[in-house]
Amino acid sequence: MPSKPAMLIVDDESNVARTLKMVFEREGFEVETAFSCADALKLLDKKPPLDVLITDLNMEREDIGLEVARAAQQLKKRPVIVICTGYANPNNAQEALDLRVDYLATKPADLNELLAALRRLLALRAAQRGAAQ
Amino acid sequence: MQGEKILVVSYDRALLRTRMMLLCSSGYAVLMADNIAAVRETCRKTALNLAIIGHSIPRQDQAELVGMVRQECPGVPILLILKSELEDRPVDVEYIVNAQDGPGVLLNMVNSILRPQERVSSTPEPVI
Repeated sequence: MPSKPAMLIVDDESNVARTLKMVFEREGFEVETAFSCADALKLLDKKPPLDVLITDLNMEREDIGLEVARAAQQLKKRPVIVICTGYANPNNAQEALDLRVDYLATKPADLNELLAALRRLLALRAAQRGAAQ
Repeated sequence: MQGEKILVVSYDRALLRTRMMLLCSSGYAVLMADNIAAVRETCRKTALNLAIIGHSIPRQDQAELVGMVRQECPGVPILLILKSELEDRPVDVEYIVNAQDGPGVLLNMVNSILRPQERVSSTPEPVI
C-alpha cells in the first residue's frame, strides 16, 4: 500500500493551521504544521522528503511565504508548492510564478478545488519522477 | 443542500472557510456569515439546525448575534467558541468550546449535538 503523502501546512493563525491539518489528514495526508516562516524553514531543513507544502503568504511580514516556497524549491525532492493568500497582487503573484509555485490559492480556498489540484499535481510529479528513473 | 444545516459566524474569513471545510467534510451543510446582516438574512431564509459563533466576534457583537438567532430561529441551539477557557462564560448559549482545544473538539461537539446517535459516549449537557 503506498504511504500517505507528506504535507507541511504553514500559517501563523494556529486555528487555521490546525483545522487544515485535520481536514487534510481526513483526506489521507500525513500533515505537519508550522506557525511561522522561521519554524517552517527549520522543518524543511530537518524533515524527511515532503510531498506538498501549503503556505500562507503573509505571516511575520508581508509576502514571507515566498521565502518558504523558495526554500522548498531548493529541496532535492521538490514538493508540490501551494501558496494561500487573501492578498494576491500583481507583484507577489508574479514572484510566485517566477518561483514556479504550483498553485496560488486565493484565501479562503475551496477544499474540493484544492484537493483536485493537489491530486493532479501529485500524480504529475510521480509520473515525472517515474520517467526520469 | 445535504446534511444538517449549520450557520458558522466569524469575522475572520480564513478561519470561517477552514471551519466550513472541516464541517462539510463531515457531511454538514454549512452557511457562512462574516457580518451581522448576513446572519440575519441566513436565519430568515434557512431552517438551521445549529449556529456556531466564532471566537473572533467581539463580546458586544456576540450578544447581538445570540439575540438575533434567538429571535429569528427560535429553538436553534447555539455553540459559542471562546478564545480560551479563561474568557468569561456567556450566559445565553447552549454549548461552549474553547478555540485552543482544537478542531477535533469542535467537530466532536457538533457531532454530539446534531448526531447523538453516532456517539459512543453521552450527549453533552447544555451549559445553561
